Amino acid sequence: MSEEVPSSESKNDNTSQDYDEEEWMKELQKVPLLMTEQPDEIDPETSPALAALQALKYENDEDPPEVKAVNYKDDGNFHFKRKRYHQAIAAYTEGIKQNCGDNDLNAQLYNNRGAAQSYLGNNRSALNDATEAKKLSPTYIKAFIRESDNKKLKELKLKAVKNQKVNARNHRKENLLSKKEETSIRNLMQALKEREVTLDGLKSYSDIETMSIKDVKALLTPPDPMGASAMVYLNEEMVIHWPILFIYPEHGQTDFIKSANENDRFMDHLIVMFDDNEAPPWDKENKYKLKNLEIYFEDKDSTQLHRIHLHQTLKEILTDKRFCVKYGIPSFILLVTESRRILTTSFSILLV
Amino acid sequence: MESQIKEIAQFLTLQTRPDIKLPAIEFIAGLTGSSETNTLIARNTTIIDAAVNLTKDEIENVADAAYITLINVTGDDHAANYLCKKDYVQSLLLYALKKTAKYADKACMILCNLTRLSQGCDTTMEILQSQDGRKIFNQLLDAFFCSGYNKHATYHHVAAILANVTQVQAARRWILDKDKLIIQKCLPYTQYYDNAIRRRGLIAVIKNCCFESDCNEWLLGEEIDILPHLLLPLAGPEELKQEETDRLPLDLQYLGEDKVREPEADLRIMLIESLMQLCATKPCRMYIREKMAYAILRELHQWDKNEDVLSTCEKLIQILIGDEPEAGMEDLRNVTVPDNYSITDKSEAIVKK
Repeated sequence: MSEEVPSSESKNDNTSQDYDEEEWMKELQKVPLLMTEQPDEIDPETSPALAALQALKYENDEDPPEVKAVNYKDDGNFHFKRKRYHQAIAAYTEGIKQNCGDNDLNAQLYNNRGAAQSYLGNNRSALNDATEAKKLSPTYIKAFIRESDNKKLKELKLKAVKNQKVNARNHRKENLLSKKEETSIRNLMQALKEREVTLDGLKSYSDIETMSIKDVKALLTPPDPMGASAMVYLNEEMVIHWPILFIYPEHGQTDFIKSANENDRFMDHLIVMFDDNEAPPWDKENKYKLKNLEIYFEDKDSTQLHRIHLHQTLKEILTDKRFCVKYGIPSFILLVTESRRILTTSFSILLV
Repeated sequence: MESQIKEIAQFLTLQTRPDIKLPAIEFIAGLTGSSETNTLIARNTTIIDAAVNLTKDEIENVADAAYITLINVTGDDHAANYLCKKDYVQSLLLYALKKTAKYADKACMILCNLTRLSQGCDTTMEILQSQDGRKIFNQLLDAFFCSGYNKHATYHHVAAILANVTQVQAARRWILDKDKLIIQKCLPYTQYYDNAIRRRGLIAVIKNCCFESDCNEWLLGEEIDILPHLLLPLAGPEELKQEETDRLPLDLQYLGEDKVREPEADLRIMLIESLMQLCATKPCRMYIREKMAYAILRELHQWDKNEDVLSTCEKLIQILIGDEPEAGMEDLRNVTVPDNYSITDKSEAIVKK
């Protein structure tokens, strides 16, 4: 970037060799006549002309500091009225630096600077200036306090009140939702109890009374990635919907159904899953046809598999004393007639 | 009976022996307890004057009975009008505001009874608008809002006095002062279930203030935010639709099943009427509509059994869900109602006996 690149516009070369337009504008800004903005601080090094002009107005040594301070104050007020708060602050600061003996004047300078600070949102500086002004002239401060009181503090207060209301609302919302969840879980447990569904990790339904809702929920929450969104639920018609898992041990595959009505027959699901025209991608041999399918469930102790008939409903199986819901998901093993032989030899599971 | 009363009247002086004046004034106080004999006493200015005198008695029981007499007797318009004298009202006010006044509450009750009549209201306002009046008014507010102002008194009845005097516009303008923000202090009392007198009085004050239509936008604005204060007492535990909940003011969202409504039917009516006043101008009406006040009123209407509440509620619902009035009629207060349809609906403050 900064390497010398031969410029095609050689006209600029005679003014200054390295200047691009931006820098040129900066240079112009240092000439008092062409300035578009007043600098916050005047450095005699960078803008000697301005410093000289400033000296004309303010550094007339014959003027007592009081007069100079008043000049700075007027300057500050001039900027303040035009909402140029940074410049107003600079002017008031110069005025304060004069260290004049007039306490009321100094109080005004501090007070006005504080007001400018408060408009910029510098509340701490505003407060410090206000305190300083108050020290210098205890009677003068009223107007300023009112000013900041009315504007910034009011805004701040409104904001705080709103935040408080939002927090209170969120708190109420959470309470309400957790109460709702609690009732729905209690109702669900009641329905499960009536159906005598065996849950892994729960010895007796009477234990639930003493358990926390979180622990009860944990009994029924499927592990990730299915998670709580797939949890079993009781709808308004008092029908339970379960997440169910079909396992194909022969292929190491599974099928997950997020919400199955307990009154559905196994056939209802399988008929959709095993369309005659479209075999599952892993079924290379095209064996998994509805007519060949056999479903089993594992009993509580994982020692035996029990055959399920396709026309049986989910509810019938879940209420079977031998069945146990593990991890909140009833799971079933799917085989085809031929694979039974393979399984009996490769897995030491007894088929009944 | 009248001759008996006359006979007793002579004992009602500060100088009478205590063993005579105490039973005498207690007898009179007892008579004011039933409405029949109360009217009788109310017409007897000698007794009233004597009772006023005896409130200064050194014997506690005598002063107490004298106050009870005056409280009961001022429940009668005749006696109230008789006592509406500027000097007496002023002395009552000044006494009630003394930090050591033992009977400040009782003095407030008399004031409350006096201000329920327009004459008493005017006299009180005349005092409050005089040179030191504003000071008295501010002190009255101090006594009311700051607990512990006077350890002998609760100042609950100041609420009723305020309700009565805000029938006068000047008092409403004081409450609505944009620097003093007195109205802001009043609003939380719409849900002050600890004390019905305060709640009732201040709901009436708020309702009266809602009649100042030029302040309505300011009242609904974020600085004062009157709407949730009016709606909360009307809201119940019902669960609303999500999109309705989202539009409600924050304070009204997700209230939960333990939320109870304002138990007093007439206060529910006053709250609804306040909302109705705020609906008078178009921008305010739009705002209240936007904030889904309708949902709260619909549920109230389902729940409420009181006929008057139901009909007031219906009127407001009409305004909220009805079509906007045609151009030129947007300000409901400036619409001329044909005589055969008009019902006189004046700013009425509650009457406390």
